[in-house]
Amino acid sequence: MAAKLPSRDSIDRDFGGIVRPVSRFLPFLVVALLIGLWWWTAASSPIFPTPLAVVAGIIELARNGTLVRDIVHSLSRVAVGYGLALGLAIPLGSLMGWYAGVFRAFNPTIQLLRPISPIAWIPLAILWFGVGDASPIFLIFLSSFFPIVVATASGVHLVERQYVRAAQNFEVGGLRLFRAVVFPAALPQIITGMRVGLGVAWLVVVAAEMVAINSGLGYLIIDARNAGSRYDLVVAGMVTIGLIGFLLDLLMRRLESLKVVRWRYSNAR
Amino acid sequence: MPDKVAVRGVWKSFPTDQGPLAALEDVAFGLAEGEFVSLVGPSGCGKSTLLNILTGFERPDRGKVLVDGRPIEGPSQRGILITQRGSVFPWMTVRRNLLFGAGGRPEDERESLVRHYMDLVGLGGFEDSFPWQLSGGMLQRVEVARALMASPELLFMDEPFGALDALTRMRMRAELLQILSRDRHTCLLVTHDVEEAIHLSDRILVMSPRPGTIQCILEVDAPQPRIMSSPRLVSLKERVLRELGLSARAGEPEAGLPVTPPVPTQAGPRGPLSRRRILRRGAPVNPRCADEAERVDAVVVGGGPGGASAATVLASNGLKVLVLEREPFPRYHVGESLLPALWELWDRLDVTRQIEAAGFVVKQGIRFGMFRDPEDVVLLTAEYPAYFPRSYTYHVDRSRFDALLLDNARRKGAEVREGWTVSDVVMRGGWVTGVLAAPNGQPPKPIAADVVVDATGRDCLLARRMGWRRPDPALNKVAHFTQFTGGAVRDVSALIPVPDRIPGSTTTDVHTIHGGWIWYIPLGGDTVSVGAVLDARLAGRLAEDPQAVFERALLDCPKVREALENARQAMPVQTVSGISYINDSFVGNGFVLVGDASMFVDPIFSAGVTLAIRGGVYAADCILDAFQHRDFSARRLKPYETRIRQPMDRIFEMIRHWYAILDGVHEDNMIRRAREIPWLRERLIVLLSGGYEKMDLESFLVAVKAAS
Repeated sequence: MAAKLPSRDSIDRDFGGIVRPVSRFLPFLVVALLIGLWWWTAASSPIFPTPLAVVAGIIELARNGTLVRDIVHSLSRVAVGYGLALGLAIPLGSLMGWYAGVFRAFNPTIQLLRPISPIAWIPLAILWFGVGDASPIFLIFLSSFFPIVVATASGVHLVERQYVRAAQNFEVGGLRLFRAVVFPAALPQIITGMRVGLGVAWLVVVAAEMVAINSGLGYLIIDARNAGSRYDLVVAGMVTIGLIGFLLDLLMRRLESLKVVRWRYSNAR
Repeated sequence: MPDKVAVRGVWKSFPTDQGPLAALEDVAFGLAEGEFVSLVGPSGCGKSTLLNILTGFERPDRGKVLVDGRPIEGPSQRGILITQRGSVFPWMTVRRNLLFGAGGRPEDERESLVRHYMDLVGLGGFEDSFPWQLSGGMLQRVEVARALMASPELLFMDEPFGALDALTRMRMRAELLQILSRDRHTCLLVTHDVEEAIHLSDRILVMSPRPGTIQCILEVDAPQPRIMSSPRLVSLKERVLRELGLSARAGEPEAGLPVTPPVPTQAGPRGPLSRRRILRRGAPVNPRCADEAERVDAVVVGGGPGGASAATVLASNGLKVLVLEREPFPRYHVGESLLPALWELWDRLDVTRQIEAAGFVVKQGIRFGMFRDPEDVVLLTAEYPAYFPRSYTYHVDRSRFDALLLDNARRKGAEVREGWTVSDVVMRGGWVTGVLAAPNGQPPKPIAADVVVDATGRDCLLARRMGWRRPDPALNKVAHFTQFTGGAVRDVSALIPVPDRIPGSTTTDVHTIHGGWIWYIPLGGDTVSVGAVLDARLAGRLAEDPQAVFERALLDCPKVREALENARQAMPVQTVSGISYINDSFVGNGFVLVGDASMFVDPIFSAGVTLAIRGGVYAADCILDAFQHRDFSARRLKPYETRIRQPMDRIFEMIRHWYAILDGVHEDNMIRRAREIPWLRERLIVLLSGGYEKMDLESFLVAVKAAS
């Protein structure tokens, strides 16, 4: 029995998509069923594309270079917006978690702004930044900033006291205390916040590109519909978005298995 | 020679809601250079506060602490603190942890120091491991090595080995001595373990209960290596225990009477018991009063889980054991939820196979319905499967479960007599030497025994006779309960990852209601046990019909009402008083108290059966030791009590905390917070699974208070 106890890794994998051999075929079965259903309904519709048409659409987009260009545009916007969010949210969150005064100063504002969907900011973004790269980047920044700042603040706030005291006992303080003790202790929670932030960023980039710019995967979708109701290309864009989102999350999960944060996710202690 | 450390008239108090609480009062002592001093004292006497002041983490209200004649100003590398909670950084390799302690030394010197200290603590080769890859004992050694890296002049240790198992603790003691024999530091050790203090120290400071002050200072005048069983050290240990109010004599029930050893005139010469005697089953016994009184090694009064477990262990070790049970088994008893911590105990009782085969309902965790929150908090043992041999346990109907344990005791060689009443114990000069018993309704006859195990449950045979019973008025609860057929049963197995998933498994459900809570326990088939635990003041006026009180409680809980929508009540509502108590003492000369006969814990954590079996097994361990030494005095049996009592204060505190939660409908509390804080969730699950010795309850409590 003891030998069969799962590690935390295996649980994560169970939930994350790469499954144990026993149930390996199950997700494929579900996907196959859905595609079957899709095919069956699409066959009788004049507009809604069949899976085959969508695959053809993806190939077409890949051939003429649109697909790669749009993916690169979307991803680079996410990279910039998300990078800005990280650069601001982690320092601010750390200060908020460490100093009660900073927390009291910023927390109400953050809690007030956080529930506003980034989508609601689109009109203001266009007003301030116009139609161009800056608008989606601003929206991505907004959407990923809040989850990261909140997770960082709570992670830093909850750093177990015995670690801080041990560091003080070795006369380590100031920036080194933060770098060597507080930050790594909070890192697992920060990573969780980063994962959530990236997920939202990817949701938001698509929405932003639908209205505020003329490139990227969101634009691809809206353009395919407006320019001739090419629903095969619409769905092709959606499938691509799903796949990339899935890969991004997988990438973030890899962060959680890093040795410096394993202590929090593993059961060992 | 002037003292290395001088503590002069230190006072400290803390603000509380009820005004300042004095923690330390005029504490004064000194530590000589290179001296090893231990500080022992009752829980809460301010030992840790004193350490915090000595290490500079806190300042005294009055008085001062001088190191080399100069007052300390805040924490410094000159005095490193090692705690049982452990502060080895889990995100760094062992090497980087050690380097962290090395401060500003040159690079090559630091590397060679790491090698030196890793070898010294016997961990060479583990430099690049992460702490989570090491065992508890190894971690504690890393802690020591890191402290030494700073070359501190003073080492302060706050129960450094408290979280380790007994064997590892002994080994760590020996290793610490060896390390200190090379690198002589001035050490102050805070410990609960008197033997540890005697083993390691030059002097022992005994602290009084709060407000703490130094009650006395004892020299340990014996060379290392110390033989702990030498008469001198044994009497020193007795002295320390007496100072702490823990010795056999302090607990002597009939103080004033001369203490008589167990009647040698009647028993004939009692030499040290040979090992063979313990191992041989049914060995001939001393013919005390051979022609009239029956004589056995141990009488166990009561055949419930505690009594049966004690009898099983004793009989397996070859003792002649007699179990006297008033009721013929199987007898009705309210259905109960068990805890995963029991697997280890069942293995010891060699009854695991029978329990698995009994087909009880599988329980994989607890579900809390908090104040009509739409979503329940479901806490599953399988989320942290490494703590227990198996991540599940059972809901049992007690009639079958108890019979199974008692049959096991019988199979292991204990003689079990059902339908026998014990009317009293036989007392001679403050010693219990047997019981008066007979089949129900017949005049009692004496049965002599070296040890009497009182497992009479809430009857508390001996505790009442001794006046030791201490009900806790703050936990005065009443339980009204019954069984239903046709209640809805929720399968939780889908929430559990495949390797631990057991189809059809359920949880123990706990729902808060006004002034109490409701349990909902599926017992198999479509039978569920449902009970309402209410504060005694709210449980209905004296003459009120229990059925009405029970139904009123159900009205307050839509979720349970819904689950019982199509169910039929299968028996009348029964009522028991659930007032919690811990008796003053669990052992006396010639007897021990086990299970509910020693203490009763509120049912919220489903701990009753687990604590009873644990008590039975641990009591039997201690009794076997008593047979080895032919010494059945309270002093010899006391380690059982210490072991069983150790987590209890904290568990009671947790229970009080639970009832405080019930008062705060809208507030955040540990159960609600467990939804989002992983470390809180982990500790709560371990606690609710019965792992009282698998984590530091004290730090958990502190954390819980901070969280809610």
